[in-house]
Amino acid sequence: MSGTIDYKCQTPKALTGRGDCIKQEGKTLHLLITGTKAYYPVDAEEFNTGFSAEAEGYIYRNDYLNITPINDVAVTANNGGDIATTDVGYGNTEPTGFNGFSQTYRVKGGVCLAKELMKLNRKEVRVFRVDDENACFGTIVTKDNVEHFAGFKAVLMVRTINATGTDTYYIELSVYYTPNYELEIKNAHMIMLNGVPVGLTGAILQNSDAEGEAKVVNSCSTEDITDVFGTSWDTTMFQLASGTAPTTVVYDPDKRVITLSPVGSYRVMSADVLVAGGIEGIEGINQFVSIT
Amino acid sequence: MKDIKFNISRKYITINRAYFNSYKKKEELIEDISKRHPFIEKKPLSEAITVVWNEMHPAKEIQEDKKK
Repeated sequence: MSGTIDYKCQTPKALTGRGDCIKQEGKTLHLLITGTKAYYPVDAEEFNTGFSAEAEGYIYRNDYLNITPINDVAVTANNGGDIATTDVGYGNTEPTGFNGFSQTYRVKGGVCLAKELMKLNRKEVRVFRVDDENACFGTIVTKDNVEHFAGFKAVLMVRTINATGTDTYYIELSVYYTPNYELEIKNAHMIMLNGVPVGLTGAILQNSDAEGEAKVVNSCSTEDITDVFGTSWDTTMFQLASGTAPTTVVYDPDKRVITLSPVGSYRVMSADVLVAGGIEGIEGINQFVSIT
Repeated sequence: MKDIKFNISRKYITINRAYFNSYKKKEELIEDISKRHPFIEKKPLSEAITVVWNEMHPAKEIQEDKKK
């Protein structure tokens, strides 16, 4: 004998027994979008604690661990993911792998949400799928012998479909998974969420009638949210163009306005600052508005 | 540093603490806030600020008692 091809098959044996309580991935109702390097604890309690409404919470923080939820989605198509085969000469048909897998979702929302979602176009991200039982599906990524919970790697594309005589306006979100998807599914991990995380809405100031008076409004729809948070507004939540905070903020529930002093150009602070003061669910847009 | 908050006739006032602390005289602080927000009644404003001021600037005798 001369020459050996000494290859030991590394595939572990498949354990195909079934327990009495079987979890199947249900209808995806929410997607949680993260950066590609966002790794979370595999422990369910620890992961759930991360969604608390505080500056360090996944929804509010401004760093690579930030999570952007997309709520109220429905799968309209699973595309690809089929077995690819090869057929050479008179040989038998052999599988070579899977072709690219993508999913198309219909997202409930209007033009404002579409504008926000389009910021994600062509971006490589990670996606957690949350089903109708609040089960959050992702994969395990091992770094330095430590296991982390992470979303499935994918590229996103968003487009809008205008209303027709027979169909309503809707946002279509396509999720293109990477060639690693087969491996990611082999390492699938699931955590039951204690609640569904909800996405943030943008907030800016709007000049009102009198000197220094302003309203806080939704940055897209301009819906007035001043009195939603009423007495919670404080001086840490606004910033002058010079970088300093106002000296005083007065909230008037009868006129539904706040008065900022001194007059000048202000912005509403970011979500991590707002949530520390008890204002949940909004992100101040970095846009200075003249309050005179 | 948390803001100083109080309410006068349904006007919810929030004062930046650094700004509050920058004043050596209570009367000057009251005058400045009053100028910035003329729609707030001066007498109750003065009373509310006096309460906070006294909490933050206890009389010298009390401070000396504490030292003992």
